Amino acid sequence: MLLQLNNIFKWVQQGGQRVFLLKDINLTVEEGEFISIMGPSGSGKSTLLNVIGMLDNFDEGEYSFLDEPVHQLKEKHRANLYKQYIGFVFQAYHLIDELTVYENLEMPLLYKKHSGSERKAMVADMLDRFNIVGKKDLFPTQLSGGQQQLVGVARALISKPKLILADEPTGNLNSAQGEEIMQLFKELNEEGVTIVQVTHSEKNASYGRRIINLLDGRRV
Amino acid sequence: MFKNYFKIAFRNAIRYRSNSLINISGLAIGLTCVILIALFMTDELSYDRFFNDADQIYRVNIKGKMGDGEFYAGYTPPPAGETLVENFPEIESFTRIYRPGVDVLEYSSGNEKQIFNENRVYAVDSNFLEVLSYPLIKGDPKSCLAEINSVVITKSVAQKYFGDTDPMNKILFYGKDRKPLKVTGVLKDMANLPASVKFDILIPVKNFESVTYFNWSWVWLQMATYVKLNDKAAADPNILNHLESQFPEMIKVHAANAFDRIGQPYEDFLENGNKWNLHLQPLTDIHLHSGEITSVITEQNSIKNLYIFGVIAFFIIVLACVNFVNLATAQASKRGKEIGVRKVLGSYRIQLVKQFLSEAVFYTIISTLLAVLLAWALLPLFNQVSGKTLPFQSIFEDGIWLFVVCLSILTALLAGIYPALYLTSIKPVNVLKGLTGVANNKSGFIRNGLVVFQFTIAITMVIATSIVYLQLNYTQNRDLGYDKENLVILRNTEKLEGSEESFRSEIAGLSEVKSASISSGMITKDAFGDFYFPEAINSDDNIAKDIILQSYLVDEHFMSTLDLKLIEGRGFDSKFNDSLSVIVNEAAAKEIGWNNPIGSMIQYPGGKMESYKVIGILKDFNLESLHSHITPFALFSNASESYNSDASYITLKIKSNNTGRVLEAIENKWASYQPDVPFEYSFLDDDLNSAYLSDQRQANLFGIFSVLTIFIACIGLMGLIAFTAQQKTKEIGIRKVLGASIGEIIRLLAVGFIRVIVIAMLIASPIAWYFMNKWLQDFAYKIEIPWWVFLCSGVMALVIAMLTMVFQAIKAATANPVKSLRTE
Repeated sequence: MLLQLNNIFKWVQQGGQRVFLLKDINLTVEEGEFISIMGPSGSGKSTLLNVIGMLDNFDEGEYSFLDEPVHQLKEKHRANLYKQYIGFVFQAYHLIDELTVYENLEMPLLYKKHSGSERKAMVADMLDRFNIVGKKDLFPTQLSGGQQQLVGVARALISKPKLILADEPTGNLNSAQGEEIMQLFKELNEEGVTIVQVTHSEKNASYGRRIINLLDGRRV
Repeated sequence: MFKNYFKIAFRNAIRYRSNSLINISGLAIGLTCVILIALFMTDELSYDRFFNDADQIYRVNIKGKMGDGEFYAGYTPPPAGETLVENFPEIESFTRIYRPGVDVLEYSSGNEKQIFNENRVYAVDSNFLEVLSYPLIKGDPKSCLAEINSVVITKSVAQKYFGDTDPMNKILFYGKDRKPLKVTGVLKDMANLPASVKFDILIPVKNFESVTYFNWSWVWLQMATYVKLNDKAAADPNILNHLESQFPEMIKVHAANAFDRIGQPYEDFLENGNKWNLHLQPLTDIHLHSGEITSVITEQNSIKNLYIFGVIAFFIIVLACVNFVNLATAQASKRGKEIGVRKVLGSYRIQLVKQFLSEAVFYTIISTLLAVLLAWALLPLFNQVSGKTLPFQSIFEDGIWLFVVCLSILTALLAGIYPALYLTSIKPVNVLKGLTGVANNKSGFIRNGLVVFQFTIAITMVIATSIVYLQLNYTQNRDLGYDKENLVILRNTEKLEGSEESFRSEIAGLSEVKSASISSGMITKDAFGDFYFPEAINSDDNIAKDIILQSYLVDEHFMSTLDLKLIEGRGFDSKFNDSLSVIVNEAAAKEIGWNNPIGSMIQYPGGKMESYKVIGILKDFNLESLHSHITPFALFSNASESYNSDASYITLKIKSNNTGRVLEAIENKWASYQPDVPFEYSFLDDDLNSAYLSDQRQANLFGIFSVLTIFIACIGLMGLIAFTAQQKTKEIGIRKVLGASIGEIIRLLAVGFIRVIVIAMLIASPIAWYFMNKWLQDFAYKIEIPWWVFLCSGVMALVIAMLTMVFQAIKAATANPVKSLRTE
């Protein structure tokens, strides 16, 4: 078991009333799963993803990640945990515009005390694997959306996470590019990486082996 | 890691060129100011510290009170030094300086003759260079002044008389007696020397009979005395205090004779509430801490000015840092994404803080390099404005470079720490949600606070500068009580040796000369001061027992030449024998308190006890610059023999057209009378202006710095309005879609800043008023601070700020609303 959510609640106070973003969510994710979270806008998909990614807090419930009780951990420990085990892929790619492809890939490694030669090898590996060696010295703005997301996925993978969280990874891409990314996710999953993605599209959701539907913060 | 940080910093700098330009130029200007001010202050603070045992050397000052007149001066009676050494074992040695008037020095070899007027000839004791170790290039400090006929000159004087030949043992002829003096030493030039006493030529004091003559006198104050204490006494303030406390007793014993001789038994003198006491002042305090202590031979500045410049430097650099902060936070939404991503990808906050600090360091390094370059380029200009001769190399001496390095590190921290903490507080989840994720209310308050701070400083500087200039203008244009225009003063006319009067009448006959007069002193120069006893006539009850009068000996043309006004009585007139007449000014008459001044008598105890009859009351006029008040003053006739004056001046009132031709004519006349003495003249208004030179310099420095503070503050404002425009992009877009005009959008952006500047104005006005009121207290004649200065400074700041904002505001207001709304 990779992670487990028990009775998670998250709310905001609005005009003296509690508005629930997440309501009594229970979820267990095993290693090697590929889960798609679906639901209409505002149903809490991204919030759930952020809670799983430990970027966002929740107000009630229990969350254990690799048997660590996340809800009891201090901010710093929690950060350590997600930095070590989780990779993020964003809808808007979120590459750093001032860094080249190579440097964008290298950046997570800089924060993880790898030696220079190690970093070089790991980045070269990634470039190779994603077939973007020729683009390593380009800046993100010089790439197409699909290529940018490719770099985004590569960056998420470079520190060898157990879990990849993807928030509408194909939302900004055309269908061909989207297809390519989803295919990539499928391959990764087959190699053993656990993936949780948020998506609007039935088609993309079908790449996952399990679909979780949300409505108004509840599982349905 | 740091390589990565710098890379990002560099690429950001390139990408946001205008921001980087503002940051770097602001910091560079700030640092340049600080470097220049640091050079200036280091120089000022180093005065007199280069002397060997500088901390053991003290100047003996005198504090005196006679009647209503009080003074504190850097002079002593001639015997003071010797008496001190004899009485107190703590005092090891003494040396004295006497400044004779201007005199000629002549060198002749073969047919060639070099004659110049020298006005920085100082007469000193033979051990002068042993006590005060002025750097000698040639000669032995112990012996070079031992012989009575020796002379020590500076390198440039040597150059002037002897060219490139070796000056040692050459003979110079001094004064009208052409006394031969042998060059026994050559001093380093003084221009760059931080010494409070500077001179060109040293002559043993034994050559001056007047000094030897007054060796008995404890009231003749024409010499400066320096003493050297043993190291124990110099290091211990208790010993020093004890030493000083014994001075009154010593004076009582030694000065009694002298006071008897001038008809004032010392006991009576003290009983009447008068004072006559000696004090020690550390040599290293003379330049900056002399305050009211007067001396014509020392270069004095006020430590207050240094504080002012220090504060200005501090504020300028802080202002530049504030800009950095404002611009960095203005970039927050642009950098927010990067920060969020980095955090998600594993960066700790501390690593991000380091990153942003390295960016600040990056900017500061560039700015510092630029600042050093700018300082180098601007130093000649700065020297000109400040009247200094600072060499650029001193940046690398005296630890200034260390200061610059520390300063830039400090600047980087000051500028970088807030943005670093502020930017890195962004929560990554907010970035994922597509928000810029910056908490705005608190930081908005801080930003506005910072702008208020900047403009408070800037407006304060502008008000202060305006007041400095107004005061300067006032002092230079105030009615001095005489007509200073077109007055030419010829010096050294005593060198005409008795033919002054025929020379005078001859040039007075020139058609361009309205009148000419001979006098022993002239405004700003050579007033003779001593004390006199007013005599009571039966109707007077409470007149002053004694009074200090400054005076000139003048001829009957003096008053008409200067256009001095009489209130009562008459001026000197060749029809009368005026040798025992005196004309006093209003201030003197008032202080003495006669009922009927005209016809009253005053006695001069310093001469042959003659009594002088008051024949006229002079309307008050200013004898010196307007730094000093009008003091009791008198005119005696040339014909009187109350005292002998070494100096003589001829003052001419000329017609304003073609001054060049008149002066040429007069110079030719001079040459026919006295070919051996160079002709020397000046215009009175120039002489007066030179008295305001240091004020003028200060005002100019002030002006420059206040322009810079305004500039830096406006750069900051520009960055800030860009920030606001960016923050309000959505609001502007919506308003435009709903039909707002460009004017309304500009108002939306600008109105907040106008409020901020008005607040700054309200804070700046009382601050500026308080400090400038204090500053004005140093002037005897000062302006009332006019209310419109505050208003004008504020309006000026507002207008400049508006101009700065308008460009950015228009840019924001004319942007396509569809574009700005799509960014959401």
